[in-house]
Amino acid sequence: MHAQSKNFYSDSEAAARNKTLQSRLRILTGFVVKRDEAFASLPDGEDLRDQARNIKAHSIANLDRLLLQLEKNVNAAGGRVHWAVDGDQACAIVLDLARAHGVNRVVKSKSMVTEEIELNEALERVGIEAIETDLGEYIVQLAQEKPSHIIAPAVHKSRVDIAELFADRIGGNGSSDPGELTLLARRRLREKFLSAGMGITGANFAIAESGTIVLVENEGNIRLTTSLPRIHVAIVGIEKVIPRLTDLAVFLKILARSASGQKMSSYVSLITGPRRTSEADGADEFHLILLDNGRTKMLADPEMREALYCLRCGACLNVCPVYQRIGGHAYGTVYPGPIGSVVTPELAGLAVAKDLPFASSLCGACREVCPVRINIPHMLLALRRNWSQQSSSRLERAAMTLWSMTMRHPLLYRMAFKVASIIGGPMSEEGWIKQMPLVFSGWTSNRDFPRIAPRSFRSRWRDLKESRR
Amino acid sequence: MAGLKGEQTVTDAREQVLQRVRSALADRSQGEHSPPVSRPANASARLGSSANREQLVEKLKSELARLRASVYSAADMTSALGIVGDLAKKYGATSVVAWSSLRRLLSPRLPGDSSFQFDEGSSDGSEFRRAASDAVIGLTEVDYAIAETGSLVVLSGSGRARTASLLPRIHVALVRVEQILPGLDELFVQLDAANETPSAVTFITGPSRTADIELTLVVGVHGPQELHVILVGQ
Repeated sequence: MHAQSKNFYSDSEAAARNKTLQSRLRILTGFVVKRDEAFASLPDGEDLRDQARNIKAHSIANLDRLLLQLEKNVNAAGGRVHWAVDGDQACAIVLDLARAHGVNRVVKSKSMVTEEIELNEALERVGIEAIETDLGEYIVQLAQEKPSHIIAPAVHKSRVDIAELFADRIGGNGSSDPGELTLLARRRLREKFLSAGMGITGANFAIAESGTIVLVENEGNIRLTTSLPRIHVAIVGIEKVIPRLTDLAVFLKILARSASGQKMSSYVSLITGPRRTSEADGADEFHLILLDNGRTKMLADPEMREALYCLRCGACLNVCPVYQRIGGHAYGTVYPGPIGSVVTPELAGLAVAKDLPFASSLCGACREVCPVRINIPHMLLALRRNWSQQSSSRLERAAMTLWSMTMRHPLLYRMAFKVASIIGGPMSEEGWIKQMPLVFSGWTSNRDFPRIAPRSFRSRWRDLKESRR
Repeated sequence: MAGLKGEQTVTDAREQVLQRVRSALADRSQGEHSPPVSRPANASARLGSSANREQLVEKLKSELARLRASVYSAADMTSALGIVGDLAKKYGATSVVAWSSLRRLLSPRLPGDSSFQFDEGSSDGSEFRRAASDAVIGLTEVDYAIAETGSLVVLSGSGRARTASLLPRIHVALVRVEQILPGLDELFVQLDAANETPSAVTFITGPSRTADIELTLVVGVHGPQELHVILVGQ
């Protein structure tokens, strides 16, 4: 999995200055408005979010037991369960299955996990054609780019961009009408669906008690992916398991509302094993790959554990003032936005994603909209603390120790500020300190400090009280 | 040998993942085994009353209209199939695919110039799939409809091809009014009570749609471009 962009600061700055991108990103406010409206129409919405969070907390706390129950029931339904410690193992399992069945064409539904393990690249290396079938993913794949949003992968492209891309790659008359472009993609992809030997999906949920995977979508491409090819492989992070079928009633009410502001998405598929004898369609073989790939590391850290509750709805991206300005690509990560800044350092390592926890104003909007109330700001702070503990210089740590001591001792505090107001005087221009010397220069490279007032508020207050007497 | 090595890796991975999960959760308190209650207690109560059937029908109709589905009402199956015939004529549907359960009802009414293909429940479905991908109309029944969301719920089974409601450009669904449930809670009570889990339970909420190009709504992507729902009974 790739970590953050190598030049996160310059990439995000360039994105923030890119006027075309800014106008693309502005349309995401549509999601925000629709999400709020959708929750307004749900009288017990807040209660449902609590219930959803409780179910997730329970599932994660009982993960080992639920995974074994899921495995048992998938097997009982005639499916087969595989386990993968990391992305390479998961890719190897898919390649083995493809080889064993002579598959040379794979249709894929949109899946964050397969982006994470870079499955398409692995398939292409051995000459297997892997086709993304979600319209947004298809566009991004044709353009040889990466998705820039969890549920709207091609949100960074205009209709004109897409018309040019299609005219260049799959024919078409150059019309930029979204309806015509969609119809063209439908025709091209229909041929692929009918001829693919394997369908690969992720899953939104895996139900332990019945061995069922649940897939939520709007386009019908997931239904085709799971109904037509002979082999269906679902690659699912271990955190997706929930205990019971009835728990779905809770999640289905809030998932589409959070993601796109719909009451329900067009299609929800509950798939349990391969097709039964005398059924006309559905896969002959059903394989479930349970993937760890760093998730148990997150699980082991009580401060970060609740990041595993994430439903991948994308709501936190849409409301984030940073995402709204820089879009998904500037992060350079598979999972962008606030949740990506939490998940990426955990999955890929803090050292290669060190800037991401700082790419937040800690405004808390992400936590406000999260359907399972993940405390993202808290986790970002914890990551910042971890980073400063492993990276700060001795001098910096000494300075911080001194600072905290000063703040805890009133006498020291008063003396320190007295000194600072005296030496700060000559350094300031019109009441602002714009440049500090030596090791402190870093502090003023991006910000100015107001100079410390010659007389403190405390001493003025004392005088004021005395003069009133 | 290669196969054997593969098997071993798989077993090792299983043990490794489970071991990592267990040690990661070493701090958990014991006795958290029963999951939190999420099933609404009043779901079966709401189900019991049929007095509000008229309200359910009206709610379902308005939700379906909002989803850009067309809704028709028919007093009985005979007049419902009359509507199907009219639709076939209107769309010049020379080929229609349908579930096997509809054969007996539909046979006497087949227009002479159209070809109907039924899912006969054979284990080689390739012929039906070919027919479904060429057909203009796919005709199915449903198992449940949900008034609150306008969703149709379909269980897979022999003679009940999934592709009949998926591959043709137009999906026509026959919904008997007694199949309408108030909401998702009631549906999951029903699904939970079933003895066997079917290979596929599909929720269909309107025609297929996307907003992947500039968040502009386009109806009709990979699934049907049109959904016609015929409500049967009163």
